[in-house]
Amino acid sequence: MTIDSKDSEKLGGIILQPDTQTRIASFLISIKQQNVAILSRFELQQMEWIPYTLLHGQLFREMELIGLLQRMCEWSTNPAVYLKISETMLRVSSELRFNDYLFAPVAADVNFYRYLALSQALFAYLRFTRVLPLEVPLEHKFLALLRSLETIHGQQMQGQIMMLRNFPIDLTEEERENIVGEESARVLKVFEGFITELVEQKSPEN
Amino acid sequence: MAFMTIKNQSIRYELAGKEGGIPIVFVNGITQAAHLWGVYVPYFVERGYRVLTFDMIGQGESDKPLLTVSFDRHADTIAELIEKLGLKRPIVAGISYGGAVALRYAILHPNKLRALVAMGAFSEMDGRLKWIGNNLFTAISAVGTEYLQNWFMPFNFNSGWLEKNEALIPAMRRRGYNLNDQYALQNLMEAANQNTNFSHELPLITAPTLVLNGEYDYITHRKLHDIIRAGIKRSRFVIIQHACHAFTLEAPDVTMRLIEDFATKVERNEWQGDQTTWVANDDPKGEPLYLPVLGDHLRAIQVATAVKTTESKAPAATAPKKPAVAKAKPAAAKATPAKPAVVKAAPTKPVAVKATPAKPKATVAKSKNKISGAKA
Repeated sequence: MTIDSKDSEKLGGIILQPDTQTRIASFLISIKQQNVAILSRFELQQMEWIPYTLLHGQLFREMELIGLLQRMCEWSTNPAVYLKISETMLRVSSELRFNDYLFAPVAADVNFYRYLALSQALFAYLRFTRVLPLEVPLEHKFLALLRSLETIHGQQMQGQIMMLRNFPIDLTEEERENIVGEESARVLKVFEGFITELVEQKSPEN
Repeated sequence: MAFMTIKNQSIRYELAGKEGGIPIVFVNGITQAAHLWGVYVPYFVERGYRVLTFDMIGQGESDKPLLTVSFDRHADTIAELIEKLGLKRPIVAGISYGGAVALRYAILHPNKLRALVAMGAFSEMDGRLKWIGNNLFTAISAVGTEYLQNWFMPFNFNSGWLEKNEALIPAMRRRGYNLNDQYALQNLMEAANQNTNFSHELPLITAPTLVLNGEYDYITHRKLHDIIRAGIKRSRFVIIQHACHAFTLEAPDVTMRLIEDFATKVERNEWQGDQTTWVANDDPKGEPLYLPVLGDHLRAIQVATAVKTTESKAPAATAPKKPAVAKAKPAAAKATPAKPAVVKAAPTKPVAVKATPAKPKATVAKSKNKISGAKA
């Protein structure tokens, strides 16, 4: 994704404020919690099931990252920030269609394939440090975590891409690419919307 | 900065220079993007060329391949981009991954090409490159983009360049990190590892071709370029002194001069695509531009052949008490085809050769690792 240089500078200027840290950490934690809820359903599957090892690993990675975000964020004491977060996450959950996967029966079907595409996109596109100006140092513990979160996400992707390419399901290569493309666009739209929200809206306490 | 949609993918490109100028297209390598041709654009625009740079699919601000992308798809994308921009028969110049894409373009679209520049390129994955490719893929998928960038640094640049640009490197790396998506790089790497073996198609390239390779390129090493040279009828192979894999960044002045000289000669129908090998003059303004290669251009060192001399011992100054001795089996001592020999070399020339058939050994002291032996 690309971001206007003015917006990038603005984000760089506010990213370490507790309100912004809280909004970003909550955005990521909320998404990861919903992903954990979906991933935990696969724990009941047989270990011989091909995607089991991959999804099992992702489940515990996601939980680990939730814990790190909780610890590294300088949480805001402003109640208005949390109201704003609730509003944002209602919209985000709906746009990412988590419910489609949370309540559907576990099966090796197109719906499951679409979930794999969604989680691949979540690993690929939630990159906060990329939209910061190059001059903003990443040594601060919160920014360092956001950066290492990108690295950990990246490490999940090799298996995920292999799965998306080769998962035994009756989909052509083009159909697979289309599904991956749709979920990628969905996640990118959510991420861009969130960045715009962070940059454009005044801090709730103002 | 402009964008064009080709086969449902958005490609970021920049077109500079006057209409009617000879078009030249630069194709970037992996973890790179169009901005790394920064100094090339004004250089060629000032000389009347129409210069197209773009972010290859999967890199920079162009769309990323979601599951996979082949070299041929890259080549077809370039063909369509060129056509839509109304550029007729451009010179296509690509480095590294982009060099392989440029070769594919020349094979697949021979009529849409004026001339070809293959730099740090490859047309097959030989034993070493296959291992390098596998390691790079593991580096990016198991560790991450930053490690891949770090891995490339000492192979892309020589020590002098790295030391001189030490202060700039963090920002350069961070920009590269931001511009790239790890999954896309993974897909590009995987495509290279799986699909690259088209040396047998090189004779299909009929365009004048300049093959460029850094002297110390240990990613796409010289043998790979020699395969390209030998496969393309109208080629000439030029080695850039002291440079590593990313010589377009290390030695832009030398590289731009070589490309301009090549383009001019092609235009005047003076290009001697005679499959010969040369060394580029290290001085961007030095003459002559091409220096002859002395010795075997595929070797990293030039081994003295047996020179008969009346001296039985080397001077004391060049004979250390315990010289570093490379012991070789008689059969392996191929530097002296007639018979195994002891070669002791002073800094400037071999000084003594003593035939010892029973225990062949070679001692080379302070010899220069110059490919050509020619002084830049």
